[in-house]
Amino acid sequence: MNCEETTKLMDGYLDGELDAITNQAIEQHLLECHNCDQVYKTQRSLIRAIGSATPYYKAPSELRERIQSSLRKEIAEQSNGSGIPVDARPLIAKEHAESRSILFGTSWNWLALAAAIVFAAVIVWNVVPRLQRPAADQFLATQLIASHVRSLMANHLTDVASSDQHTVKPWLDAKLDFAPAVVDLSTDGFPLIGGRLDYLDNRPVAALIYGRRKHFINLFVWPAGSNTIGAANAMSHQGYQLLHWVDSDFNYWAVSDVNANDLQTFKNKFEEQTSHH
Amino acid sequence: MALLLNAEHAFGLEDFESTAKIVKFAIVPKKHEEPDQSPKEELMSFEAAMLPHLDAAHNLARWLLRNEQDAQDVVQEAYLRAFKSFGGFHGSNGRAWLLTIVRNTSYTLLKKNHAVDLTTTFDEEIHGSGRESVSPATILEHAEDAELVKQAMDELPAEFREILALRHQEGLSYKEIADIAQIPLGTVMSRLARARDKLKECLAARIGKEK
Repeated sequence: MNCEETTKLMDGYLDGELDAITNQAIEQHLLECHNCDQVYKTQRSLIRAIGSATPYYKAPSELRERIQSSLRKEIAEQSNGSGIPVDARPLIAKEHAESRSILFGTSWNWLALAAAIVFAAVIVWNVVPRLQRPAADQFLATQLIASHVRSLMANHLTDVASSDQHTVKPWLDAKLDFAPAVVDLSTDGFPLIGGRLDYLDNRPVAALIYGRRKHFINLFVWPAGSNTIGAANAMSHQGYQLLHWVDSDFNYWAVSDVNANDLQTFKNKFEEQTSHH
Repeated sequence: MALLLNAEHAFGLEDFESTAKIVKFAIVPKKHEEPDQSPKEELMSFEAAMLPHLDAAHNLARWLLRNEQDAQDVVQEAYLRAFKSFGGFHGSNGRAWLLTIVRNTSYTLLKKNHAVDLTTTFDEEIHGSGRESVSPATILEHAEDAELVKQAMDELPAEFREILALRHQEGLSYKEIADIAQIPLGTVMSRLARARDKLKECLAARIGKEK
């Protein structure tokens, strides 16, 4: 091996990326050639210096959180996007616009138009709210599930971990502008694990965490507004069970991966206990 | 609610048959849900595989973009892209796979911002000066100066910054670097050698100026 070849392969040699035979040839040359050996030693020191002197930019912790929440948002949008006919609406309206010219283009008169408007008004009045309701419900369900999953994933199940309702309740009361009922249901097989603050439906809400064997139930509570849906309402979404009910003061949403019967039992026991308080 | 009898309402829902069709449409969608792995499970395995490489991702983006805010935006975007194509990732080298995406996302932004230093044709006169007057020994003396090395490295073109960061900070092999930078394996060594030479020149120029 000559000086030119050695210089050309120097970086590979220093990085340990050459094959054994070439390696040995270079080693041999460095023993014989003082100049190349000097170049080698200088380059080696420089490489070491670059490695230790250049700053390594570690990711700030906010970035991790940003990424995690953007991924969850992505999931929520994916599952939401498949269920809601948001995009379909304008499309349907367009089809009607086209069919209208066929229906009315030839022989329309003011009476027919008036009748059509009245009829449309009746339909809009009656049907549209019914169409929108599942959409809003589904959106909230997705939010609830995301919140439940996040609580189990990010090591942030509870802000206050206690099986004592007299510890959890004052803690939540101090943080929120409402005072949800907190009961321990361990005798019924649903031990209270703790409480957490969460944000749902555009407001801060209380989350009570109960255990069920190896599973967790997140019970989200916030004051019942005037526009809430009355009857108890069970649904299954993405493999999770959701159970919704409303009492005189509050909106309740229980979310869990336990089976629907367990969740129903949980609701009954919870209502029994809270009515005693 | 005051009902506005505007035209949209009127022909949006004027015949009952079509309205019934909308109802049908609203009920069906359950079928569209993906039957295979649940999104939650997929997210968990993605995070377990990829979040450990967050520092490496951030470091590469930060060196390429030379700006903290851009680096964070790019890394976030890259994770989102990676998550979307995670189903197609079956390899064992998650770090190299993720860094490839970070690199490509960074270059997209650099190109969008019309960065002038993407490739290695840059002004030899400015950056080449001072080489003769500064000995290798003097360069070495200053090579421990973190701030100086950082400034010199930031002067280099993107593909040099990238290859130096991948080699010296991540300690990646030539093969991994070839995969990430999408260059032939044989090019890695020569580019690395040129990058180190340029870094020496930039260091020499800075030392020369300080004198």
